[in-house]
Amino acid sequence: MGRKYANPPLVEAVCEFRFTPDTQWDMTIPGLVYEKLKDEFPRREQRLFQEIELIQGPDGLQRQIRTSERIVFLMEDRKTFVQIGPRLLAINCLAPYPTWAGFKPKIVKAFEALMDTTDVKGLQRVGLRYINLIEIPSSQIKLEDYFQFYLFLGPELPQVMVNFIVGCEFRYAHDRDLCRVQLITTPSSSSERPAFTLDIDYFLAQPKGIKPEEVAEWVEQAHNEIEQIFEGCITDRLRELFQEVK
Amino acid sequence: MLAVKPWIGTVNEPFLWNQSLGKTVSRQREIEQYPAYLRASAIYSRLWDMGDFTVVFSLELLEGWRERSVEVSIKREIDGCLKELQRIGIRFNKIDEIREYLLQFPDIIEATVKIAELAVAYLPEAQFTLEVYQDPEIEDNHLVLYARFKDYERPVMERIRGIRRECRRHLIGKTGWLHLTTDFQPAG
Repeated sequence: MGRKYANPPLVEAVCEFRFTPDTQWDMTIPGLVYEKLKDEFPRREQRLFQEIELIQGPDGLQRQIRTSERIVFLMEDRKTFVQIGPRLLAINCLAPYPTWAGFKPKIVKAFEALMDTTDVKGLQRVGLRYINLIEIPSSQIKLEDYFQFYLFLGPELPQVMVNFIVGCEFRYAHDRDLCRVQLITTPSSSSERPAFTLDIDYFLAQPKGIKPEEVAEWVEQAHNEIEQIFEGCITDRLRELFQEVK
Repeated sequence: MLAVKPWIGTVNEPFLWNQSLGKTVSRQREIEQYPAYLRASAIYSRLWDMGDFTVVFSLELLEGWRERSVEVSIKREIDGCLKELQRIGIRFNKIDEIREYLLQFPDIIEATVKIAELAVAYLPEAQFTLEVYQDPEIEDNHLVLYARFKDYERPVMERIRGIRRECRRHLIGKTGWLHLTTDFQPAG
């Protein structure tokens, strides 16, 4: 059980499933899934996305741009929603986060609704991602006072940064899973309050590394690892800002 | 194989993590030997809206990151939008309210950037501020992009109306709305 905060920085949690190309897919699937989820996610919207894919061709990497449609099913408060696109299912939860005990059943329900609708041949990628927005009420800060995961600058470098991004991937489960952690400067409400996004994305790195029936167990494990990574990224000074509830 | 794969670089000082050599390549001449990587970095820096930062990947890393080109996080999509707006010189009034509005109406995230780009292109002498307008009489709010000028001698509203016509196609069928206008305040 992780720590609890009265003022948590979490702004969005997302669980994302991508299915292998041999999974049968057609345009009727979102509608059929909606029938199974509409009691909990009654609002239905459509969004168009431009997707860019890099293809390794004979002349190097080539860019392909295509437009794809995603159907979004939202709860009445619009804070939790399900996105369905071609071989893609994502469950998003915006702040206020309803705790893992509230989010996990929605993930499982949406995944099972899709499993009941089409023959899922395999999982290309599964990701559980927690995105935190951290605003610090002080204009001149030392990152190391607040983070245990930060960009180190040697003494011969300028010490004032305008923007930065720092990230790394940790491996888990014998390379089957990776956890990508990024700390990024973010536009803030005032220059007196620098803001950072701490993005923790735990994902299945090996296509078909787990079976569809193992998803519930996998997301539980992913959530445990994310909690540990999150706590490992911050210092007690941030915990004070988040107001830990003991 | 490394357990932790680092990456970072700026536009002026990119570096390349060479997986096979196990070291970074930082001199421009060396990097130019990897045109595919540089092209990829240009695409990704645009995609992920990392502001002044360009990220240069080894091909091995790039393979693993390819699928992220489809963003499913609304928060990161909004961050990308705000960084792009900031990059083209848009100022924000109450950024928290703008974030909240875009969370509520995510179908105008992309349109917001396109409209701002149009406005900046057509009104290069203007200063722009984005904010959420809350109608005090009815329960309605929308985004407003204010164009402010040092002087208002030229027919400002006529020019703005011309741009609005261009903008309209980006807003058709959207649940949110962005209104380009001026409040005749002097540019700061």
